[in-house]
Amino acid sequence: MGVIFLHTLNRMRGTMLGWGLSLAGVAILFMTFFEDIATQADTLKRLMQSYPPEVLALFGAIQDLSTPQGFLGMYFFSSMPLILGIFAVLAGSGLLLQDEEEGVLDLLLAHPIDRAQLFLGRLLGMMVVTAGILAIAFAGIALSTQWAGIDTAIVELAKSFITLYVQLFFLSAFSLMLSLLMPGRSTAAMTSGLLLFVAYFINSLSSEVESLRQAARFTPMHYYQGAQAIGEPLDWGSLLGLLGLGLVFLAVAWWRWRARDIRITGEGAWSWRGLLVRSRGSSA
Amino acid sequence: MRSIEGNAKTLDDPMQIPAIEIKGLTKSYGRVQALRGVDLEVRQVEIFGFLGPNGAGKTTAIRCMLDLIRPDGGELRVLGMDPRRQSVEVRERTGYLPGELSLYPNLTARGMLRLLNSLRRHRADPATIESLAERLALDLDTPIKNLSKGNKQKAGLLQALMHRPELLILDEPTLGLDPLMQKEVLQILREARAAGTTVFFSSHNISEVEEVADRVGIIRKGRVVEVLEPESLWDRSLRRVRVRFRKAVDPQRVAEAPGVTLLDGSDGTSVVLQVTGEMGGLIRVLAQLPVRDLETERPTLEEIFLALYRNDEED
Repeated sequence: MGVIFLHTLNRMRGTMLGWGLSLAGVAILFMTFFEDIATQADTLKRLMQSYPPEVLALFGAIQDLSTPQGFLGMYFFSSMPLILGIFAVLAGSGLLLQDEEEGVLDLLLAHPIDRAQLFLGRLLGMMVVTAGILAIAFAGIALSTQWAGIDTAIVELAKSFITLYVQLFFLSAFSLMLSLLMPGRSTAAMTSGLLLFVAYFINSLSSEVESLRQAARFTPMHYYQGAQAIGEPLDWGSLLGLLGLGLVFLAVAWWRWRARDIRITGEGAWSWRGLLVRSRGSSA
Repeated sequence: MRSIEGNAKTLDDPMQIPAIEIKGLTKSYGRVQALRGVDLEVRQVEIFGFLGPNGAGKTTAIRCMLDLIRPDGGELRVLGMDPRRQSVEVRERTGYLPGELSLYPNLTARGMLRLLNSLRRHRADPATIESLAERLALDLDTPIKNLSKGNKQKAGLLQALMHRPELLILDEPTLGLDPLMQKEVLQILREARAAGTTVFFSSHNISEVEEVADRVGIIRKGRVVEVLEPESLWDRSLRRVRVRFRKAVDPQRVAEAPGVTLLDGSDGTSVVLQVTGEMGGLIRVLAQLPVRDLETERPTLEEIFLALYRNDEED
């Protein structure tokens, strides 16, 4: 498993640095504006209140921009489940299927490693890379707050990242499961991505649209604290709930993976077009 | 020329346990029946050619042996083990070349081999890797994305051979190689057998199977229809012969030679024949005729199969 884990880390190191440094850069950029924005927070708030509430809801609830918590929540943490969610969806759906669709898995699994080692080695690698991205982004924010002399406790900031990490774990586990239930990687990524966007918008708009409040409870973002975790206790119920559901997704993925015929030329695959042809054939 | 020396461990009673034993193996993909009850036994330390046209089920059978796909029914044992329950042990003692080889394009051949060798807990000796690379004329330090199809195939062969396995399972090992390199690969396989390795390889090239195999299994439409000596395959195989004469002759004289069927002889100065088995009878008849030119052509495997197993088709 160690070889697979290290190989996964090695393959994903570019992804980790790319996402991590980009997010750290964005965080540093925003934090350099913090002092200026904080002094004009009231003006900005009045300006933003003139926007339609549904539009504002997409950027998160209007928060007190004069505090680091409000500022980070508005400009960084509110959009992270969506932005990093895209990474989680792509990483989860491609974790095993990218190599299968490229034909390399056939060769790797002909070597003396069992499927459990491959599954766990890759999963662990992906979760470490996800943690690495967040660690780089965290370092960016932590350093920029220190440089800017902003009074934010590092431990409190870390709590926000923990809630974000659990979101990403949930999303990548869900995408991995879909990739092993659906015809191929692209279908799984597309479906997971679509669900991610829908869930994000439902959750964001639910603060303004009452009819969406019930539906929002079924989205993972509903249980995401983000910047609210700064200065407040962690919502362990939500965190453990998401972790538990993520583990259920992984268990389903594992069950499908163990029984899977490794594909090389699409044998055993099913496609939407094939299903349509079959259903037409059976109804004729 | 270097040879593959030494070998992996042998079984306690190597001649008693077949290297591969398959009984009634079935596998379907939806409505497509890829294997319809394959029965096959490959002995220890032999080169076994697995011959069949495209889509006959060769690759499916091979992939069942390594637990890459799961059969629907039947029994399968590799080196005396159940590939499903003892997949790691089977793969530990096996070298495999996939029919559709894919490697990580951004790694060099050396990097890819290093990765695969680490999955084998570094069992392959670096000197063996270098020696095989030299024999196969493969530059290990070129990125795989820059390698030609033939060179990728060499890298694939190298990874299958490098740890000196007890059993080599090779799906179309000479695919994409030039004729000289094909000869070299067949020589490597002979040396592997001499060192105690069992070689099971699939092919749709009848010549290479005849050249190197001790026995040949013929698979067609998901069933092994026959296991035979390579020589007997040739005895029964077909050749197409075109003969041109200096002056017109009676085509029936030629058609009366043993094993000969007249396909075309309308103009009298040339005939197209189909010859089954040995050519001696035809040559004796032709010796009495004013022959100007003679061409023989080996039919494709599909054509041979169609002629040999026409009755199965009709059934």
